[in-house]
Amino acid sequence: MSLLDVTDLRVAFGPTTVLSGVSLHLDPGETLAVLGESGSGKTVTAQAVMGILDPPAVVVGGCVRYRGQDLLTLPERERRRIRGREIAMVFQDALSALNPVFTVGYQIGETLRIRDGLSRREALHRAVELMDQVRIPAARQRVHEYPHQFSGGMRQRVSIAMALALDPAVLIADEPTTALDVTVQAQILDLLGELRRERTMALMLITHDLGVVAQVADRIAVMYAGRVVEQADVHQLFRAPAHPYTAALLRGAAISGTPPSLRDLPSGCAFHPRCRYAAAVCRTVAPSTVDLGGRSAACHFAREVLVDPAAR
Amino acid sequence: MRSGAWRALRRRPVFWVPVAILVVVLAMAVAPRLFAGADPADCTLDRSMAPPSGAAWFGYDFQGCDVFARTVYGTRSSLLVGVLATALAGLIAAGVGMASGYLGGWLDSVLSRLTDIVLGIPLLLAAIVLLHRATANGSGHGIWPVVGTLGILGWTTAARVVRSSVLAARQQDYVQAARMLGAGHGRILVRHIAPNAVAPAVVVLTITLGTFIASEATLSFLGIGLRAPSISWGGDIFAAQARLRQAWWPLIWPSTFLAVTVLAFIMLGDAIRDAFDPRSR
Amino acid sequence: MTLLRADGLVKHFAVRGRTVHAVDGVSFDLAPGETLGVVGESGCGKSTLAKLLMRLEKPTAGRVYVDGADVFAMPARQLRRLRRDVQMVLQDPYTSLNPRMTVGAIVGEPFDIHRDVAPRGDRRRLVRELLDRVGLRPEDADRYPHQFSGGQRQRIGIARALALRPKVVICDEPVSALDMSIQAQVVNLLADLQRGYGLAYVFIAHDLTLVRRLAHRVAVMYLGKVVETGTVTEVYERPTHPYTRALLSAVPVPDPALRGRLTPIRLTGEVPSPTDPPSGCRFRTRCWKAQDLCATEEPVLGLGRAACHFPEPLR
Repeated sequence: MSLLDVTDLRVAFGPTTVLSGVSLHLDPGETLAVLGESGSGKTVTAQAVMGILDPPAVVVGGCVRYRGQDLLTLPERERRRIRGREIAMVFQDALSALNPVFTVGYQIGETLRIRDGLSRREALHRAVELMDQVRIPAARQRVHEYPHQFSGGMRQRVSIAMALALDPAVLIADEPTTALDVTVQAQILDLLGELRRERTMALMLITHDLGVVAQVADRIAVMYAGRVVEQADVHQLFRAPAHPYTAALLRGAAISGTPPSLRDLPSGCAFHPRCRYAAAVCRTVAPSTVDLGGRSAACHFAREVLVDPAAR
Repeated sequence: MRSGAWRALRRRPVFWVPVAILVVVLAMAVAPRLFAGADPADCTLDRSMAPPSGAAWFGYDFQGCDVFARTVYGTRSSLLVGVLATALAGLIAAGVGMASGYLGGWLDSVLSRLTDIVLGIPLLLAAIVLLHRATANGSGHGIWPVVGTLGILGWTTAARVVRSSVLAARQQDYVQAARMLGAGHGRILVRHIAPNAVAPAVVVLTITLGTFIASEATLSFLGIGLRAPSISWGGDIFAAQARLRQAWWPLIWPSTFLAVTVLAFIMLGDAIRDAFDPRSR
Repeated sequence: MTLLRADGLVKHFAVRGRTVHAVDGVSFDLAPGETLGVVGESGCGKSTLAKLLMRLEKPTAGRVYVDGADVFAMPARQLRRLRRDVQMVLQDPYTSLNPRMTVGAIVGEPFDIHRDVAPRGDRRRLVRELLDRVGLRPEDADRYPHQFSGGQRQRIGIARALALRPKVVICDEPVSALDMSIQAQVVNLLADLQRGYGLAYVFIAHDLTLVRRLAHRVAVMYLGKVVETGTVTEVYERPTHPYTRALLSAVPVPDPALRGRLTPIRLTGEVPSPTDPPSGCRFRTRCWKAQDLCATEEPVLGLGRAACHFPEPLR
C-alpha cells in the first residue's frame, strides 16, 4: 500500500477548476517528482495534500489518503496533528517562510515546544542538532542568528530543518531550489537526497526543471492544466515518454502556443492545440488515463507515442 | 490611454451618479437664477424663521431670507473656492512631488522635509492666523485669500502621493527601457512616469476638493471665511446653528448640499482611479 | 572587426560607507553577428555589466567602444545615434512594458523618439511588420500588455528592441522568467532574428544549457571578474578554471541513466559578498586547488583561457 494516495482530486477556485482529477501516489522512502509549468496545478496539489489551500480555493472532489486514512474527511484538529508530524512542507521562498524578528533557533524549536512540549532549553538543543543534520556549519553559534544573516542556500537549509523537526514520514518540497544559484541548488538537492535516505522519508519534489528530476527522482508525475498527464518510473520516462507533452519537453523543442488559461481550457484534451499528434477525437473527448503497465498517460495516442521513435 | 479610461468610465454607474450630481451643482453655480425663483437678498424680518411652506419650500432664515435661494446662490462661492484651491494645491503638489521623486538627492530631502513641516501645521489654525491678518488689513475679503490659504496649506498629501508614485514608477523596467531607446527626461516624465501619478493624485485631489469645500464652510462658520455680501454654505450654516432650537431648516439645507457635493467628489475620485488602471477595466 | 568592445570595465557602488565591487575589470570583444554568452551566479556582476554596456550606469573605470567610438565620451547627439545601434531585452516581461500603453504604442515608441528613422505615415505599418516578425498578430497592436502571456510579452519587448534595427542586442536573462515550454520558443526566435538581421548578442544568463544553445563564445563570471573565456566548445567540453568545472558539474543532467556515473564536483559554501571580496584569487575560498599563492597573488586572464594559477591543462 502506498504511503500517500491522491485519487481524483479536484480543486476549484470560485468558478474556475484548477485541478480536474489529479491522481498520484507516493510510496515509503521514494522520491516522486511532480513536474509542471506555472498554472499546471502542482503547487495547488501540494497545498491540498497539506490542507493549506488559500481561500477561495476549495477541494470539491476526490480523496487524499495517508496510510489509508482520508485526510479530507478528518476534523481540523486531526489534520493539524498530521501536518508537520507526518507530512511536512518546504517552500520555494525560504526568506518569506521564516519570520525576520525571531532567531532561527527559536523558529526551529518553536514547533517542538508547542507540539512535543519541549522546554526552551531542550528545544534549542534539538534545533542545533537539526541544523547539524542539514549541514549548517557552526550550528551552535548560528542558532542564535536571525534569518537575514543567512545566505539563500543556508536559509533553505534552515527551513528544511524546521520541516524535519517533528520527523515527518513525507516531505513535500515545492520548488526548493528555484530561487537558488546552480552550485547551491546542487548542494540542496544532494542534502535532500541524503536526508531521505537517512530517515527513510518519502520525498515529493515539485519542480519545473527536467534536470533536477533526472538527478533525484525515482518516479515522476507530469502535470499539465490541472491534470497528471503522465506518471512513470524516471528511467522509463526519459527513455520513452508516452505523452506528447512530456516528449516535447524532453526533446527541449519549442512547444507552439502558450499554456492554456485555466479559466478557459480548450475542449477535449487541454493539450490538443499544442500537440503534434492531435486528431479530431482530441478536440472533443478528454482522454482518460491509460494504464501502460506500471506507468500511465492521459492521451488518446499514448501507445502510439510510446513506440514513436520521433518522440524520444 | 485616455480614450481607454473614458471607455471604462462610461460603463460605470459609480461614475455617472456623482457626475449627474456635480452637473446640477455646477449649473447652480453658473446660473442660480434658473434654480431659485426668489432673490437671496430679498429679506424682510417679517418672515424671520418662517417654516417651510408652499411659497418657500425650504422656509426662511433669521433674517427672513429664502433658505433655498441662499443655498443655491451659495453654491457658486463654495464650489469656486473648492475648485480654485484644489487647482492651486494640485499645481504645488505636482511640482514638489515630481521634482522630489524624479530628481531625488538633496532636493528630495529638502522638499520632503518641507512637506512634513507644512503637513504638521494644523490647517484650520494656520488658516485662522493667515485670514485674520488678511482681514486686519482692512481689505475685507472675497474668495482669493481663502483660496490662497487653503491651497498653500492643503497640497501636502497630494505631493506625497505624487512623490511616491513617481518614485515607484522611476524604478520600473519600462522606464529603463525608454531610457535605453534614448528618450529624454521630458518624454519619460510625461509618457511613463506622470500617468502613474495622475490616478492617485486625482483621487487625493477630488477628496481634497471635498474637504476644501468643507474647510471653507468651517472658516466661514468661524466668521473668518467668506463675508457678506458673499453667500456661502459655510456662512449660512454658521448663522443657522445659533438658532437651531428655534428653526432647523436654515441649517439642514446648506448642510445637505455641502454633504452631497463633497460625497459626489469623493465618489468621482474613486471611479476615476479605477478607470485609469487598464488592469481593473 | 569589433562591433562592441569592453575595456577594463570597473563598477564600484558605495553602500552604507562600504564599497561593493560589482564589476571589477571586465574586457571583451564582440564581432558583428556573434553571440557572447555571459554566465555566472547571482552577485557575479553580470546585470551591472549589462547596464554599463547600455550606458545606464557610469563605470568607475574602463571604456566601452561601439564601432570604435568611446560610448562614455560621446556628445548627446552621437549618443542618440548609439541608442539605435545598441538595444536591450530585459528580464521581466511583466515590468518591462508600460501597462498603460497599447502594444502598438510600446513597439512604436522608438519611432517617436527617433523621428528620422521612419516617416510618420510608415510607423503603423512598421509596427505591424515587427509584431509579425516576432510571431504576434498585427492586430495585437491595439491590445494592452496585460492581455498577453509572459512569452508573448517578451516577444513584444523583443519587437521594441528591434524597431531601430540595432547591430547588437544585450539580452539580460531574457527567458528566465518564462515557462520551460516557452523558453525554447523565445530562444529559437532570438536565433532566427540573429540570422535574419545579422544581429550580435550579449546573452547574459545563469542557465548554462541555454547559453550553450545560443552562444558562440562564453565568458564565465565570478564576483565581478571574468574567470574563463573561450568558444562554446572549449568552455563546455574542456573547462580549465575550477569554477567553470564546478559550475558545469552542478547543472543537473537531464538523463537519469547518467546518475551516479558522473562524479560531481561540489563546491562548499556560497559566493562571498562583493563588498569584501577575498584577497588574491576571488574563488580561492571555495576552491579545492587553492594554495598559499592564491591568497596573495591575483591570477590574470592574460593569454590563457582561465584566470587561475592552477588551471586544468589544455588538452
